[in-house]
Formats: sequence, structure tokens, C-alpha cells
Amino acid sequence: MTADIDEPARVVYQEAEQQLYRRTDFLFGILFVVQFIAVVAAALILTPRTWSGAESSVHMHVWAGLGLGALLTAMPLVLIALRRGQAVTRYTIAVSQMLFSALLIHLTGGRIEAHFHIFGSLAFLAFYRDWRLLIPATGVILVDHLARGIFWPESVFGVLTASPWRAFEHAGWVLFEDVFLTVSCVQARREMKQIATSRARIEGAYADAERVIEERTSELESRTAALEQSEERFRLAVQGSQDGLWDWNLVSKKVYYAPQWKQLIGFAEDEIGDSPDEWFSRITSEHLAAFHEAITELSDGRSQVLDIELEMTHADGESRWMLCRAAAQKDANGVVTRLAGSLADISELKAAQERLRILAHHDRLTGLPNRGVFTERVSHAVALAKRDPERKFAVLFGDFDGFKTVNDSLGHGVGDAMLVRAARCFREELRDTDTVARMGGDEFAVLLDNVESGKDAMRLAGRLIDAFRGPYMLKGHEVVSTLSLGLVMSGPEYESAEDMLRDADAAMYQAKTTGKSQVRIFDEKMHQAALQRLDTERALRQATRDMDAMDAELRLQYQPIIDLTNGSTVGFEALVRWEHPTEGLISPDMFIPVAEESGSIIPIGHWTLRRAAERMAAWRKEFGPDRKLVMNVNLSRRQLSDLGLLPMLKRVLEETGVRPQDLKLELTETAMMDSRIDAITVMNKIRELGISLAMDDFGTGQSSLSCLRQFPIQTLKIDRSFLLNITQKREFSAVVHAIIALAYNLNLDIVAEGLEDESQLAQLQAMDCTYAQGYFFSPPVDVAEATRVLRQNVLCLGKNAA
Amino acid sequence: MRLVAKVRIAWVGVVLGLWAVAVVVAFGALWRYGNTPGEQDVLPAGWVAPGALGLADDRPTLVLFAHPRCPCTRATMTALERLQRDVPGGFAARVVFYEPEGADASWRETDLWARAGKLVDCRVVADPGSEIAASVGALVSGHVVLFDGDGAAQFCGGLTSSRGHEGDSVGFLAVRAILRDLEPVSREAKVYGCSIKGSNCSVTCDDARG
Repeated sequence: MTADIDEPARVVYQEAEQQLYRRTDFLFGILFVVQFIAVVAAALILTPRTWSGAESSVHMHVWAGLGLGALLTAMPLVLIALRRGQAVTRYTIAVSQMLFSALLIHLTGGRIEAHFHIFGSLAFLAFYRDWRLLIPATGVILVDHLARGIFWPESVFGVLTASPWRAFEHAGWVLFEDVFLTVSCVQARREMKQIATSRARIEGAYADAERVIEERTSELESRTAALEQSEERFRLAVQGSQDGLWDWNLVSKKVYYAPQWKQLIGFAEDEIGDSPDEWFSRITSEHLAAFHEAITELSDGRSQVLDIELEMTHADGESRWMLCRAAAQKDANGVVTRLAGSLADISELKAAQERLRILAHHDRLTGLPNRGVFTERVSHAVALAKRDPERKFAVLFGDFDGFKTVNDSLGHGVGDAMLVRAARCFREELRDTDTVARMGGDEFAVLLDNVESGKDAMRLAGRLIDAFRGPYMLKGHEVVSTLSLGLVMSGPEYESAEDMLRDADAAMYQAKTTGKSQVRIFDEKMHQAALQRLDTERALRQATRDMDAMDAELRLQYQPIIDLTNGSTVGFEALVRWEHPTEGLISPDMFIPVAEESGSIIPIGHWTLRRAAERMAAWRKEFGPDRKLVMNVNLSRRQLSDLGLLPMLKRVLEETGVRPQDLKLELTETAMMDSRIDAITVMNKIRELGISLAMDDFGTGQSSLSCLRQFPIQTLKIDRSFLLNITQKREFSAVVHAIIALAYNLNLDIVAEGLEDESQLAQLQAMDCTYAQGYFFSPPVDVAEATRVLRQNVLCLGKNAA
Repeated sequence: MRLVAKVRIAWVGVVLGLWAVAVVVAFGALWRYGNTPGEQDVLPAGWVAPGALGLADDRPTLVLFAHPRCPCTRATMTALERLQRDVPGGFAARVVFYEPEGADASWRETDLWARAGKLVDCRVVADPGSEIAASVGALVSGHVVLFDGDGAAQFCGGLTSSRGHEGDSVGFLAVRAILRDLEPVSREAKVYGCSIKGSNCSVTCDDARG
């Protein structure tokens, strides 16, 4: 029945067909119930009782109506309930319905009117639009009516013999209706198919549309989700940033202020309206005009963005620094219609900037201007003096005598308090027009502006020195720390502030070295010395530019270290010498300080260590591994703080082949105690390389015994100053004795430096001093002599013995 | 096909089969009931109509014996009405209604009494105790005897083909043929209807005939 339509239409058609069957089944269910009631009622009305004379009983038709009617009703109802829409139900309904017609006709006495029920039943069956149902229905009619007409003609036709023509007529009318209904069913089915086809197409199109809609919806949902995420991010960002957003509609002249915006200036949501004046009225008068101008430029299109700092009045009456940023939105005509942006409270940032500015220009401890500010002011004064030669000014450079002692012995707290007091004293003693600055450490500098002459400057300087002359109490301690000052007067020879400061420093150095607590004015002699120093520095820089240059001008000398128990040479101290091409041999006392200050000590130290290591490796090769021999090399404070020291040591060890235990680095007590260097860490790393360490010039510094234990040293070298007086002064002898005892207790080797005569040797031997070096045994000698000494082995005691 | 489905189909088939048998049996019983004629006696020869009937001497007289409350007799009354329409003025009619002994007025207030009263040229007679009916051998409601003008019985039997069944029947067609002076296919027919001889009937046919 569905072969002529495609699959989607077939599905729709079968669905509609099934709905039709089920709906018609239901209608027939109702019909059967009604028919049953009608049949019983008809029997009760027409033939309620049957009589036999005066007696009566219930008529057979009533029982037939009830029984047979129930039988014909029950089965269709059961099937409708259990198998609604199925073929068995439809066919059973068709048969039952026609039997109902037969029953009704019978019970109503075969009236012609009752026969209409047959035609009605057939028509009713056509509700199924299934002509096949007419076959069993017509079959029932044939069996019930036509067959009886043939075999019992009187019961149908009222005659004793069969009437083929009447039978044909009866059948003809039934067939007529069958044909009519069949055509009707076929047409209805065709219409159903057309509808199904159309519906399938519509549903197909609908499914396509739904799929597209679903895809679009999914896409939209994704975009919406992304948008929500973006909004959420934006919201969190805004919340996190603490910025207050605002949105100014230039058309409506209303401003939307976000709650955060209002909170920034201390107002609640309902306390600020949507007028621009709400904003303008809270901008301080100093910034109002600039803000107006910036807003006007933005709204006129003259600027693309707004980025301005302004002060606004907070609800608490205080002013707050705000950073206002905004951008403009234009309409299709390019006219700005909207400004939107944010407001951020930058008060803390501003305060921090101000603090940084102060810190950048002032000393944190004393509050005085720092070196940068001072240099700038001196530069300014130099420039002014150049334009106006009559204008005189002076620069004082001061340093407190014994400040380090105070700092180390009484602690940094007292040292700081002393500096604060000093700053206060400077301010009190000087004029408002003068500038005093802390240059670093305990160094101060003063710019005495507009002084008449050097005498005026000297008088002011003297007043300052007097102010610090007497002892004073700091944190419960009596402190004496005098001031040494260097003074330099302005003059045409000075081109820069640095030159003046350098000379003032030199003068101050002169004051310190010639008695302290005094002022020295920079003079020509100092100037010449400074020039000399500059020449030395320049020549040194040239001499140390590379290893070849250093090989050309530097050379090493070796001073033997003698074992006092047997007179054997157990080591050498490598000492660098500078042989200037024109000046000749320059004393280490002359060039080492300059090298230290200029930084040339780093390449010199490197060169010294490398060449000494090479020499030591050569000696080790010559004298074998068992010969007790160590090469001592001096390490300056500057080298100790050099980050390249350790890599350089590793390279030297690798490249020269010297054994680490054959090297010993000598560090002065002062270098080790330098608070700016993490000396212990560096020393430990040196020890990790296997290189020994010695404390040089012990006794001249200010190290405590506890510090001595912390340093990873193996040797103490007693400063030569102790040996100079060891034979004349008992206390020196006692100190040396104590140092030697201390070294033994700390399991350190002890080397006495500067041994010059036999009495000193005797003393040291009496004190069980193990090692010594000095001119008594040998001055520093060149490599050939040193090698000879080694070959001779027992050198000095032999001399002594001799 | 799964076994469960097969069993279900078999069950449906069995139930439908049983149902069909029940329907056939029930229809058979109903048909049998409707087509079972009542008993009847033969009209005695030389029977003389009682004066209450007053047979017409110039035309045939059709006498109907009926139970006033028999529903099946409505079809006979309909057939009689139809005969009057088919052969107008062709016969006189007499309807003899059974009445039990001591019957109240309600026995004469039935629809059949009313319809009989509306017949043309008809006399309605009560027959208490069914004496008249018994005399002509009418034992079932719907029994008809057609007398000619001479009082000779021309037809005896029922006018319906079964109980209460309207329409043509052998009896109806025979009576109508006689009234039209045609040769009937039969001069007697089976009678279908309620018995007009009650169980307490004290008069037998033979008694009535004397």
C-alpha cells in the first residue's frame, strides 16, 4: 500500500495511518457501547415480555440483546484496550459491527428502517479508509442475509422459494455501497500519501532548518559563553584593579559613575548623581582647568586618549591623587558622542614616588642631601663662578677620626646615632645658604656659598672642628670622634665639581695624616701630589692593560719563609715590583694604593698569582712532591670582592698545574673585616679549591678573637711592627707571645714578619714561633736567587749558626 | 518471530475462535427462537361463527385472534393494516383479543387494542378465556382465519414469516391473493406469537368445538 512513496514519506504515512487506526478504534469503542445500550433498550421497549395466556416472562429478545449484544461489544472493546491500532482489532470490529446490524434488524422485527444500520455500519467502517475491511463486513452480510435468503427464503424475502432477482438486488445495493466506499477509501489513502509526502518534505526541511538552528544556537552559545567569560574577566579585572569606571554620554550630557568610582572618593552609590558637575566640583582648583582642557580636547577629537593625573577632594575632606584614563567613541559622522574611561587612586603611588624622590636625593639616615645632590649643587656653583669670577665659594670635605673604632666597638647603632648627631651639628653651625651633604660612610661635605675669602671659609671650618672636638654621650657611651676637614676654594682652574671634591678629599687626607682634628686647605703641593698620583694611575693603567704589558713592566721577587726549628726554607712570599720604563723601579708603597683605588690591582693580582703559580709549579717539578714548600701570594681587599676571583683561581690551578696545597693566599686583617664583603663565604670557597689562607699583618687591624675563629685561615702572620720593638719593649714581647700562644691554641701556623736581627730570632725561638721571614734571612730576591736558596735549603739558620 | 509473540498470536486466535463459536451459537438460538412456530389446531368443519363475530355475508371476513400484550403480534397488526391498504374494502375484519378470567380494564388498553380499533370495517371482540379462539383452533396470537361471504374458511394461519417479523410472508401473500381472487400458493401458514392459551386455561380446543 506504500510502495509508491519514498522512505521518509512512508514513515510519515505509516505514522498517520496508525493514528487513524487508533482514533477510529476508539470511536468504534464508543459506538459499540452506544449500540449495546440501544439494542438492549430496543428489546426492552419493543419486546419486553412474552406471554402465554395471562402469564408472561422476559422476552427472548431481551436476553438476546443483553447476551449477544454483550458478546459483540466485549470482544472489540477488549481488543481496543489491548491491541489498539492493530489489524486483528480492525477486522474483529468490522465483523462485530455487521453482526450488530444483524442483531438489531432481528430484534426490531426485520423492519426495513433497521436495515439502514447495515449501510451505516459499512460507512462507519470506511472511517478506517481501508477498503479491505469491507470484505469481511460484506462477508457477514452475505452469510447472514443472502445465504438465509437462498436457503430459507421466507425468513428474508417472505416467500417460500428463493428469489434470485431480489437476492441480486439486495447484494447489488450492498456492493454499490462497497464500491462507493472503496473508491472513497482509495482516494482518501491517496490524499493521505500526498499529505505524508508533503509533510515528510516539510519535516525534512524542518529537520534541516532545525539542524542549522541547532548549529547556530550552539555557535551562539559558544560565543555567548566566550562573551560571558570575557565579561567575567573584565569584571574581575575591574574589581581587581580597583579602578572606577565612568561613561559620559555627550548627547544626553549624563555621566555614568560606577559604584567603584564613587567609592574611590568616599561616596555611596546614591550620593552622587549623573551630572558632569558631580565630577568637576570634586576636582581641586589647581587641576580643574587642565582637566577641562583635556576633556575638551578629547571630545573635540583633537586627542584620541585621555591620560591625566589630577587631585580630587575625598568625602573626608582630604585630597586624593587620581589617574584618569579615557577614550572617545565617535558616531558614523565622526563626531565624538561618548567618552569612557577609568579613574584610579594613585595617592599611594604618588606618595611612594615622593618618598623615592627624597630617597634618591637625600641620605636616609641623616636626611641630608646625598652625594648626587651635592655634586649637582657644586656644579651649579662652579658654573655660576665661571660667569661671575667675583663670586667665591668653598667646598669642605670632612671625615670623622676614629669613626670605625666607634662603629666596631660600640656597634652600628651608636655609629648611626653619631652620624645623625653630626648632621644636626652641621646644620646648626652652618648658614641657611650653605649645603651640607653626607657623601657616604662617615664622610660629609659642605658647600660654603658666597664666601669672601679663604679666611672666612677657614673660620667656618674651624667652628665645625670645634663643635666635634669634645667628648659627648651617645646611647650611654662617651664618644670621642674628632673631625678632619679638607678645604678647597673656588677658582678658575676648576672646571667641574668632581675636581673640587677630589682636591677637598686630598686636603682632608692630608689633615688626617698630619694630626687629625684639623682643617687643611688644598694647596699647590697637594695639587702636585695629586697630579703625580694621576700620572701614576695613568701609567699603571697602561702597564696593566694585558698580560704582555704586565710581563714587560712587572716582575716578582720572592722572600723566603724559614722554619725556625731547622732553618729550612718552607716557602716564599711572592712580592710584585713595578719597573717603570722611564721612572725606574717604583716602590710598592707608591703604586699599590693607587692600584687599589683605581682598580688596577685586579689585573696586577691576577698576573702575580699566575706567575707565582707557574714558578711554584716549576719548583715543584724540580724539587719533587715531597719537598715542604708553599708559595704565598697577597690578595687585596678589592680582589676579595671581585666576582671573577674564584673562576680566575680555578683557571690558574688548571692552566699552571700547580697543586692547590702549594698555594697560600695572604689577606690583610682589614680586608677580612670589611663589612662590605662577605669575606667568610669567599674564603670558604677558596678553601674548597684546596688553597690555604693566611691572615697578613695580624695585630694592626681591629679584629676580635671571636672573628679570628670564624675565618677559615691556617696561618697567622704577625705584623712587622711588633718585631721592631720586641726586644726593647716588654709589652710588645708579651703581645707577640700571646699571639703565638693563641695561634697554637687555634691550631694555626704562625709566621713572624720583618725579622731583622739575631736577637729577634732568639726571642721568637724562645716563644716557640715556628716560622719567620725578613731581611735577617733574606730580602725579596729574584727567581734565580730564590732557586739557589732552595737548592741550598738550609739558609738562614746556617748564617745564624755561623 | 519470538516465542512470546507466537504464543500471544495463538492466544488471540483461540480467543477469537471461541468468541466466534459463541456468536454463532447465540445467533442460532435467536434464529431458532424466532422461527419456531406456535402450535395450532385445524378449523373444525362446519364451524359456525359466534354471533359476536358477525361475519359479513357480502364479502370476506378476516378474523385475527390475538393476545393483547403479545409484542410479536404488532407485526401481524401491521400486516393486517397493509392488507386493508392493498385491498381496500375487500374484506371485513374482526379482531378477537384474548382476555383471561377476571381481567381488569388494562387488558383492553394496550396498543394492539388501539390499533385494532382504528382498522376499517373492523369489529374488536374480547374473548375471555379464549373460548372463541379455541373453537377455531387458534392457540397462538396472530392466528388469522379468512372466511368468504358464505362463511367458509379460505385461509388459516399466520401473516408473519417469524416472530414479530414484518414484511412479506407466505401467509400475508396468500391472504392478499385470495382477497384479490387469485390462487394463493398456500391456504395455510405457520403462526408465530405468544400463546393465547394460558396455563390456567380451562377451555381446550376440543371443548370449544363442543
